Amino acid sequence: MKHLFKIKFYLSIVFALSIFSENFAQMTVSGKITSAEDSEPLPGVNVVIKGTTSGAISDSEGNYSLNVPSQESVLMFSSVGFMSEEITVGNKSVIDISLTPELTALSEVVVVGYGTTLKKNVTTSISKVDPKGIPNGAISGANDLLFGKAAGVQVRQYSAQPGGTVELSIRGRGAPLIVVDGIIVPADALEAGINHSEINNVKRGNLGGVNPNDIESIEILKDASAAIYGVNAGNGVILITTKKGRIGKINVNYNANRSWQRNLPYLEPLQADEHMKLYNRFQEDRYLSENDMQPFGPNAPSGFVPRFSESDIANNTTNTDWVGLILRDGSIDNHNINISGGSENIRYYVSGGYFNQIGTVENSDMKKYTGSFDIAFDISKLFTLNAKVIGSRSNFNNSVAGWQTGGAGANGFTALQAALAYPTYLPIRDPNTGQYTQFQLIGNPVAQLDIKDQSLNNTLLVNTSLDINIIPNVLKGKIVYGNNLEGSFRDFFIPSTTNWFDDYRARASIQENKRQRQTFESFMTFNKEIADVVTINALAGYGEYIENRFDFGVQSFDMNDKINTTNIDGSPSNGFSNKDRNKQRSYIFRGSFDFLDRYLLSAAWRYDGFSQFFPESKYASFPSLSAGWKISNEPFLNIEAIDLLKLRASYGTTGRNLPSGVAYGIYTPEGQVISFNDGNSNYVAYVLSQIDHPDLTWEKTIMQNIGIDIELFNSRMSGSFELFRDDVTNLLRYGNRAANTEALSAIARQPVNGGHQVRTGLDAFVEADVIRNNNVTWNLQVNVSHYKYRWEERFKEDDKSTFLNVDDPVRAIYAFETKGILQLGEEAPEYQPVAAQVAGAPVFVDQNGDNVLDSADVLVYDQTPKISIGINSIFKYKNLDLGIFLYGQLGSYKQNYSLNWANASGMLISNQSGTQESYNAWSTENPGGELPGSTYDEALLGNIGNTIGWGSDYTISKADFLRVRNITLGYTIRSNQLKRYISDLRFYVDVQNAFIITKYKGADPEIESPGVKGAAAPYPMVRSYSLGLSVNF
Amino acid sequence: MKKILLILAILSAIITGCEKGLEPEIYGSLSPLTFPATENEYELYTLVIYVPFSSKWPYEDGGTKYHFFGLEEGHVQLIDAPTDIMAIFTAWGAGWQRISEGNFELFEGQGRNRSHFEKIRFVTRTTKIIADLEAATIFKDETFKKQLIGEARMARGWTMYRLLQMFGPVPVITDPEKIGDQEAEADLTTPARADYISTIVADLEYASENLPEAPSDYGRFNKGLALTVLMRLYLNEKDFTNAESVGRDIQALGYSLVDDYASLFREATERNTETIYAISCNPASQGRGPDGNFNAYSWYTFPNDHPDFPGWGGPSAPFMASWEFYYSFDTADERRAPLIDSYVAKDGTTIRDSSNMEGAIINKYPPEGPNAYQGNDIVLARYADVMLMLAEAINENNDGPTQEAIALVDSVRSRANIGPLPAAETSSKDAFNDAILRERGWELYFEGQRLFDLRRHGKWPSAVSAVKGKDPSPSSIYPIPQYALDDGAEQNPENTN
Repeated sequence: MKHLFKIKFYLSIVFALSIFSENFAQMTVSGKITSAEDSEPLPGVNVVIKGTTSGAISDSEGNYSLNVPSQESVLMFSSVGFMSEEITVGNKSVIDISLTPELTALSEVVVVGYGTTLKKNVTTSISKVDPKGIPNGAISGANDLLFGKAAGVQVRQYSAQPGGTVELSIRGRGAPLIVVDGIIVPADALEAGINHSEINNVKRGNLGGVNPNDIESIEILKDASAAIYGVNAGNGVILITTKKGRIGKINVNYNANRSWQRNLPYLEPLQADEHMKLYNRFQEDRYLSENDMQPFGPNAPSGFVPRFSESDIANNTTNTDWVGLILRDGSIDNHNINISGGSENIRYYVSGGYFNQIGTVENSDMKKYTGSFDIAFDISKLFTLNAKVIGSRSNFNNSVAGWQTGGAGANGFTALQAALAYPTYLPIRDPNTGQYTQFQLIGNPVAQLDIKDQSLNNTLLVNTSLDINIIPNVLKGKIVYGNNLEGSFRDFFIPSTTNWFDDYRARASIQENKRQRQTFESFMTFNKEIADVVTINALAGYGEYIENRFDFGVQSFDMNDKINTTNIDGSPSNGFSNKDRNKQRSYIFRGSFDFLDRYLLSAAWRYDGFSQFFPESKYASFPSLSAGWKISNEPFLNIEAIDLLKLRASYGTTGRNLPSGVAYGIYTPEGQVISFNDGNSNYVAYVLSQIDHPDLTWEKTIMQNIGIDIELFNSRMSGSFELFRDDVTNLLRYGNRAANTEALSAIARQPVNGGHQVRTGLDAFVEADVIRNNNVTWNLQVNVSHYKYRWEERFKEDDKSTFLNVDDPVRAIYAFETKGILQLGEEAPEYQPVAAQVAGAPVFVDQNGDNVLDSADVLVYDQTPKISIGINSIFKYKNLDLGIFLYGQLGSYKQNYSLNWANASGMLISNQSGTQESYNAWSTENPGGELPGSTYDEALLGNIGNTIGWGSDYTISKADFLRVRNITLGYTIRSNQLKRYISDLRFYVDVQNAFIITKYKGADPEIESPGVKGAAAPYPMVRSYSLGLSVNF
Repeated sequence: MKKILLILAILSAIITGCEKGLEPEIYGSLSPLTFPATENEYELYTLVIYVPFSSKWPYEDGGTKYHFFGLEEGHVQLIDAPTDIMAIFTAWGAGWQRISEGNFELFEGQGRNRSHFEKIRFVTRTTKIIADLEAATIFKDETFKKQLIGEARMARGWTMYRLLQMFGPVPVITDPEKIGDQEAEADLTTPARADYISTIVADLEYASENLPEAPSDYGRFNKGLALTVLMRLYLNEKDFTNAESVGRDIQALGYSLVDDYASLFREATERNTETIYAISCNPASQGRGPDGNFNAYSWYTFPNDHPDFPGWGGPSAPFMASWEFYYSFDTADERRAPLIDSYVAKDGTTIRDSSNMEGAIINKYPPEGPNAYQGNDIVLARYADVMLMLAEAINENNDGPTQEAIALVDSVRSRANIGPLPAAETSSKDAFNDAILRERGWELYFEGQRLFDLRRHGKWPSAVSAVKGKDPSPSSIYPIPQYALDDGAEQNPENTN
């Protein structure tokens, strides 16, 4: 079999044979092609002499001309979106024709890996999203286009900061493979860190480079259809196709909008006097309970001294609104222009974009410039050269929202965290000294705004390819070279006047990360109908992919605040660097067969090699098979109303290689520098951090899918329904998540393959033109998905104490159920943990009634939503359009750590200054409180029964919600008055994140908020009001 | 025809082997095929053995790990804080509170990240380093090679000693043949105590014979340290004969008491005639990986409302001396001076003292210098300790105190400006033993000795229960964590119900 892989295509040989011509002309036919709808000329129509491969393409005025061999010749006219026509030449030398637009969606073209196909012939699970009509006012990235738009695609707003992470997942699988015009680009954003400190304030990533305005369509390969990308397609594939130029007159589109942004309700801190009184209450409860004093115990109360005296409270005049000082209103200015067009031999598309966002948190903003250039040039009938460049540059001021990492305490709080923890009774500056006030370990929130934290991110995607029309419409070759370059530069400085991490000290960090991914591919496609029985579509290709990464950074101290990072010469510094490179090689084959326009069969095979594995484990094959049956084309089902009824099934394997690291043994520099002699004698030691792993190999996902597609009433209604199952086998554990080794092994964790996870579910999609009149149309789309994601087999290396049942959900949270709060005088159940046997503690539930709390009483909460839903409605009346888009989820649980801002015992150790939700905490004055009182500290629970690290469920909340993503009202003017200058003009107003229906308390059910000391302060969710216009010249 | 030619042209491929050009590309690390090769590389290979003996924030080694003498879960928190000499601390959750109460149950639930039991892997690593050094033929300087082996065996012996004190004998690999053998690496059978001890003895004896008395890099392991740890081992194993003999070897090295007790812990006077071994700290270090060692105790010893040095804990600091211990001192004892029993809080009015503090502030390592953290070396072995151990061994070996033994204790007392032991305390073996235990508390508090001393003297848990708020576990041997039991380890008898 190996000889098959020994094929490589060489550009030079191809060029050597590029001189080519045809001459069998006998007579000339010409004419003009127009649209039957509006009589406008149609450029770019294919005119082919039936039974031959010769033909012509209409020019920008719709004119065509070609030589035909005889009067019997039949001309076939075809163009995307129009019904094809056939005309016998006869004695005519001029043939004008008008083509009828194809109303049916059946003719829709769908991009699949390495080619396109008609939607009606798709045998796998592919969703297509057309960005037209999706409001683009307050969005900066392509991911934003996908909220609730396709069945089986979950989109989650991870962070609302400018350019914030919008997490994509196909069927709940995790980051998919992203392919832009055939070039694989990394799914995660490249972000330089601060190699200094322990904060997590940047959560960005949104296909940074591609301007959403430049996107023509987005296809989502959800099942074995992804297998053609074998490698790393285990999470599915998202294909982004950008706009291209078309033959025709020059088209200029300009669209601009302005958005005003406001934070949705955030955590609401206590006023100064509220804080003082509540603190005293909590403090006294704690004191009385600890000393067994009434009402908690038998002793008479004595000796309690409240932290804030009556006069402290009465005389306090300061009430600093710290959160108000950190949050603000924001805005976005967004301008985009694109120019496209083409003549017979050349087609072009040029665009530019400017996006300027003032964030809703102080210091956070983003200026993004995008540009793209696309040109297709027909060198000869044989060769078409394509070149595309997409570039972007983003300047960020990084947000002061977020949280500390690395187990740091309140001394590492970000400004927004500090604002929620800093006492409201303290002023910004000490009136006597003029210096910033300082409270315990918490940095003054306003002083933290003096920290400089900027990022400059660049992306450049260059995509060049040569199409070789060996036999027009039958045999094509393509050679592709793509280069995706990214850079991220971070400039960070803490001035000496800001207390941070217990120190007033000038600290700087400069870091740069670079990443490059090169693609070289060549492939051939063959497309032929044989004897009206079978249409064959075949593909064979070869690809090589090289990934490079280089990061370096330096941190410095004690420089002058004014000079800061601009000149660190002589400042005590230390630095780091890191280089990575890997290579992948692939062989790609696919054959699709369409028998009698009824039976569809497609088989694909991809064979991938990866440099970082051992030779014996380097290569893996990824086969797939799919089949479809167009029942509606069978003679026995000749029902007028049914346009299409198709059954389909697919089976295939996808994989994942090692995203970082190697399978080989290595000595790495020990991060702990060995230091003697008061730090004057330092050694970088080397430690054997990994041994050879010759067996380490690809993770494989077997994807199975069955589905039914239906289209009714002249495409007025369509839908699909599908069931799927993924078996993720041979899972890779590497890096920080590497598996435990034998207990006495010198190396504690090593990369392994193991385990087995199963993901099952269904996707349903229905679309209908509920109303379809001359003046009024109402289009409604609903998609619903249901998933289950569980373990089938665990890693044998995993600790038993980390899970309950072998087949628990992969995203499980384990906790003991609690019901209500233990009241004064109420007897604690016998099994109640020691730390919870005090009034104010939650009452634990002994599920099996054996009077002992142990693993048998633990509940499993699944973070994977049971139901995800998206609803899109577009209503049009004459020139007016109204769009409403909603998405949501049901049946998911989340650790709601933002409740910790209202933690009563947390207030006593000054990690929190309390929110309005603190009034919901139990106290002797508030026996109805639903949150535990200050007498209870979850951290004191220790291990319950035979379990390790599982606590109560009081911070676990249901994360159900339904969000109204957009309400858009637009008006389009197509007046003849305008027509001399512009072809159409559209105004619109849009509200993004109009509102959310949820019972979730806290920051937001969607955004990330992990458990840290104190609590996290994620970037608030924002609502945007946009005003925009789009004009075509 | 031309089309066919073209197809052939495109298909005409250059034949290459498909595996070629896909070799691994590895950067930023060294290959075991070529490293270590030179003396210098062998030294850098060996020096990883110092990682658990550093003083920094916890480190990464297949998960978060804690240093033996680090701030958290180090010798102060694990060996001193649970005992009678230190106060309880309740503000930072169960981990801190239960340990400060003298209760070790939670160690059973500790995961691989936290538990010191994971250090059994470090023993395997040192075994491999020792074997690789022994097999190395490139050394021109045999003394240097032996010194490196000495450092590695010091690290292994000391680690096994610490693990013994925490968990009892634990499974370890000291035979390099077993490394890489999955079955041997999974075998968690508890070794016989005598075998385990003799391995430590052999390591420490080798180290004492091959380590320099004063290494050129101050802070590297030295001969005195090897002997002191060996003496502690014998003493705790109640092998008083060998303990006395090693003690006399240390005496011969010429250490002597300094005059000023407090000066032992100050940056300016940290190198002196009495300190046998200390972790050498860099005053500019912030305790992260690339930094030198640091001393951050003040953040853990001062309450957060202290006017000069507000610490991290709260109104009571994580590490405070118990009032019972504070009041046990002779008021003239200079060793009590680092304990602060009262101060006026930052607000200028609140008086903080025994009525509203869990204990006295331990200011043994006073905050000095301009940086957030300190450079005071962390003392791990000093001659006063050796003198008290020697007195104890002599007392045991002679069934009562000799003049020499009494003189050893009295000279430690005299340096602290208090008089000799009263007659009653030297009247019998038991009385003298009790006096030595008390003396060790006063002399060595905050140096990570107390739990072992109480255990050896049979005072655990009784001595601890006598202190306010304490709730000691029945045994001072920590339970072996559940994850290790799941892996096949046996629970030690002290924690078997």
